[in-house]
Amino acid sequence: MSPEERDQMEKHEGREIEKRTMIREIINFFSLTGFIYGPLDERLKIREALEAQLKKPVPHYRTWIENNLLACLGGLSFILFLLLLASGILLLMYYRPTTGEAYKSVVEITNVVPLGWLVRGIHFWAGNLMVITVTLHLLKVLITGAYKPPRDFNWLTGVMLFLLTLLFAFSGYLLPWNQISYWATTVGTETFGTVPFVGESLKYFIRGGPDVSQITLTRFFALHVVILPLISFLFLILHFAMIRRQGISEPL
Amino acid sequence: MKFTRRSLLSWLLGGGLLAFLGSLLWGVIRFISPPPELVEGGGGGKQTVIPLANLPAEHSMVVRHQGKLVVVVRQGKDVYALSAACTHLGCIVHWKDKGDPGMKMGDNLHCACHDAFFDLKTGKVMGGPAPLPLQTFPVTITSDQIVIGEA
Repeated sequence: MSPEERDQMEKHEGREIEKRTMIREIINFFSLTGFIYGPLDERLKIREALEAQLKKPVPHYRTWIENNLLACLGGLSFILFLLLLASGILLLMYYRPTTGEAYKSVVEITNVVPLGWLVRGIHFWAGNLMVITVTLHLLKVLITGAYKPPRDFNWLTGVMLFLLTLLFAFSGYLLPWNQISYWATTVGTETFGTVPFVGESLKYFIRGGPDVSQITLTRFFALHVVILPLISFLFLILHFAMIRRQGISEPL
Repeated sequence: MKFTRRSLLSWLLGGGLLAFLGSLLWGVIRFISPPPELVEGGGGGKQTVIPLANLPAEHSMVVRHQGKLVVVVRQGKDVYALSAACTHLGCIVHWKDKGDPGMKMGDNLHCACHDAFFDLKTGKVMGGPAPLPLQTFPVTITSDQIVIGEA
């Protein structure tokens, strides 16, 4: 069934009208909370813009797997990103990025701060799951050929976001400053030494010295909480703007 | 807006959403309120005890007494304890220890922020912008320790 036929059928069954009114009812409710305030809406047409944004065209998938599992991987990754952003900001209220205090502050967050175990748990598990969902999202786009023109530029921003996710995970792993994170970072940065010619200086630059030390912790912290998020925001905006402009590719 | 059967559903949806956000906010507020175990010098008893050996003659130190900063000065045979927070804008007042370089301030406590002076014995304002005298605390000296506050 083509999308046009489906639209026709839904119109016939009166389903489309129902969907539209549901959106309208939700918007009506939020107008009561003052978000879509009358005089403001008159000038900015918020209601109209919101309705246009909420009516997002989605491809017509044929199978349950495509519809429920594969189509949502990108959205899942974004929800995890938002969770990580919120829980990460909360963790920053107590975390101390020094070699002497980092582990102690993480233990305090987990054992002393009210709900700290939950906030840290959310950050830990969302971080791990995001690596998985982003990888699956990339594989799905690769295998279904959705990266092909005209969406090739969006594929590039997606690959950048995949690399950023890995860098997030790598830099965040060091921050508790426990044995496993210390040695994982030692091994992880050691691999940069195998790059021909510039390897040794690259390793020295990433570590900020001959071995993993306070400077490494400080620059990984800066990377994790400021530099990577800023770059991610840029690529996320590009990624979303392009996919809304071009639409999600129809299945093969 | 007309109240219909359908709008009941959106009220339920919106209400549920607001309840969810409220509970989220409650958790966040609990998280960011620092637990007393992590607050420096939080709580504390009625009295604060300092070993006499920690405070040499003609020297001063700042300690926490009942959660607040208190400057303790040992001058001659006497020990004075006053609130260390200047009554002007809350900077920590300073007493010139023996051998310290710097300005002449006699027996006065000095606030470096806006040049307020306080009398060491009474806490009275001797100069500067401070509107109120410093609070003084009773001090008991035993053979080997200084006790601030009343039992």
